[in-house]
Amino acid sequence: MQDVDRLAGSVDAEQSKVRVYPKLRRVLPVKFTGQAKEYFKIWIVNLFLSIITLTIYSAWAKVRTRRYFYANTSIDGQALDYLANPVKILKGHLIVGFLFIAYSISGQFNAWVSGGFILFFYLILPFLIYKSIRFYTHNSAYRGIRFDFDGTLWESYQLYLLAPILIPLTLGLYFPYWVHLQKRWFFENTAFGSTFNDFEGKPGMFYKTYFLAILQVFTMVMFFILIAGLTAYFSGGGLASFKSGVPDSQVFFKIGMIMGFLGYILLLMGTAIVQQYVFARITNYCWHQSCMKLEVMGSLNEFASAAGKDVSAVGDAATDFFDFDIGL
Amino acid sequence: MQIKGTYFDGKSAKAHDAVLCADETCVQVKDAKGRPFDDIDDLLPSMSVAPKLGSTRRVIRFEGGRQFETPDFDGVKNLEDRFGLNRAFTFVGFLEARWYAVLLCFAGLVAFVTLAVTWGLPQFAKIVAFKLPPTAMDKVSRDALALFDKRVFKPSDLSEIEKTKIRKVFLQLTRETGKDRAFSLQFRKSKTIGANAFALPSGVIIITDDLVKTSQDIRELKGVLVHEISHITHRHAVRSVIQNTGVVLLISLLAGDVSSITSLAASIPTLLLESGYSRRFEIEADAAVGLYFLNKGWPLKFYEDILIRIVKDPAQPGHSDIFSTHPDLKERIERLKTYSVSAE
Repeated sequence: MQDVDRLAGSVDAEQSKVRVYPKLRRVLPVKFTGQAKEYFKIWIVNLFLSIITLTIYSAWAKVRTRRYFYANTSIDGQALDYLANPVKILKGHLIVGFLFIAYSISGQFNAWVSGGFILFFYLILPFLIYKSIRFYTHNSAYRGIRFDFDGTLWESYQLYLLAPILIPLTLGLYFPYWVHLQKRWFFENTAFGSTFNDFEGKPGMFYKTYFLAILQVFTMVMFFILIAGLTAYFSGGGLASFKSGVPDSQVFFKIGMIMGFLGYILLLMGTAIVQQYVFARITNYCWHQSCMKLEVMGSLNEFASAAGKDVSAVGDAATDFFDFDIGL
Repeated sequence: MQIKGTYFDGKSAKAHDAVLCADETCVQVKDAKGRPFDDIDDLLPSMSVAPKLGSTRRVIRFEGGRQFETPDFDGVKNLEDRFGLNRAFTFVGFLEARWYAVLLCFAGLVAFVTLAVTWGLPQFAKIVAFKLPPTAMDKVSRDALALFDKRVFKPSDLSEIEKTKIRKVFLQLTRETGKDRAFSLQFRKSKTIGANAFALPSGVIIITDDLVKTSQDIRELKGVLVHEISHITHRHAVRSVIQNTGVVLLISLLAGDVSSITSLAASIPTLLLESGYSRRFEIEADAAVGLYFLNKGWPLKFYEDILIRIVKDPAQPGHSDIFSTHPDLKERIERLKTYSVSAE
């Protein structure tokens, strides 16, 4: 690990460096103790409360979910913790929700305005991602010491505004490498207290994973083409026309017959999706956690906290609202 | 009371064995030797007990990043009770712990969503739509007409005399049933569309040559025009926009994120809901026709006839039994019957 040089031995005049006395190198596994059944219950109650409070509760639900996963992740006998204040997340949610509603409505009335919104969104996305990573890393803690993220806003713009241009230019070949860059940016700039991080992943791994994923997706696509054909059938309409029943009703009749069959499939899919979503979250997390190990020089006790800073939450809410997977 | 656990001082990552002592007025965290950490006598003012979460260890936080963790659930529960903390989240935890509560929540969720979709959202859309100025969708209407004229419509073949006659009828109808705006009747011809009529939210109503030609009585045309006018006066287009936006938001909320709305799995319920809404608007417009005919004492047969004739229009593929292949039409005719029955 390159940062060993920074850690071992010397005392630095700057406050942010830490002195560690080299001891035995230990490998500590990351353990995950969460259970799908337990999480499923939490998830349903979260969904219920979020909906009946018209999404106000979703800020608390978010924190609860993160806390659950963190609290069930332990290293060397101690678990992680998520310290975010839900009220801040709520504010972020409200801002983003308002913007989204404005965008949706404007889109129906005036195509130019909605185009403007989309452009605005692309320009602001790297900022939101940056703020989001900073918020959720700063509010993640282990043994009472917070994490931090030291990437810069400019780096975020390079990574999320400029780099994606290369993806269509290389017909997608750049994509796994871009994911690698994202992970690298995240891990290299994540700090624990006053100690910095290093990232040793290689692009090759990413290419292999994505190839397998594409094979899976291909079979799914075949199935969805069938559904697409049917939904295209639905979109007859136009404006409120006098006989709007007519082109559609012939279709409705046919759909009626297929509905029974489709309804059965949807029911299967529905329960499967619900199960999958919940269990996937758990197993995905498990996979991440059990594949992660922590190499420690000396003892964990010597990590020290960094000077504190409060970080606003708009970014966190935004990327969750739009579900950009930028985290671990 | 005393609770055993682990203490972190927020400055280093070291875990200390500790005991939390609480009585009526103060809370202290002591180390193995019985001394309060950092010599703080009372941590109560900055104490924040994180709510219970499944079977994860309890966490109590203090200022300066200090925290105390313990697997002693009973102990922390006593602490919460003593100081009256986390009552709301204790209830949430209760819901999460029992399967019957979870099932109730799920049922409640389904009920709420159903209510919102069938009543809440349409009500909201109605209220908002009437608060907006009637000109809200004028630009969209202009753009839509321009698009139709480019793709689908050709200029009408009807004679000026016929057009004038129908325009006079239309003017009278707008005076009787139109309320707060100006209307305009446009004639177009289209082979692909055949006999039909459209209403644009800006007040423009389009009627095709085939529809005029297929009508056998002026009352048939009047029925069609009243239907179209009512789409505009009831602000169906704006309400449709608001409702559809609401559906998108609702589904993305349920699915957990907005990007999923573009997935096919989410678009099916979306389209179903939107079609359902547009059916309701058609029925509402038909009701206006029913009332109008009732007031004039005309049999609704005239309106029904032209509806059926439109469906049977040679431009559309034909079917022998209209109602079995057009359940929508069947429903509309049946609802119209309630107006003619009361007339007799």
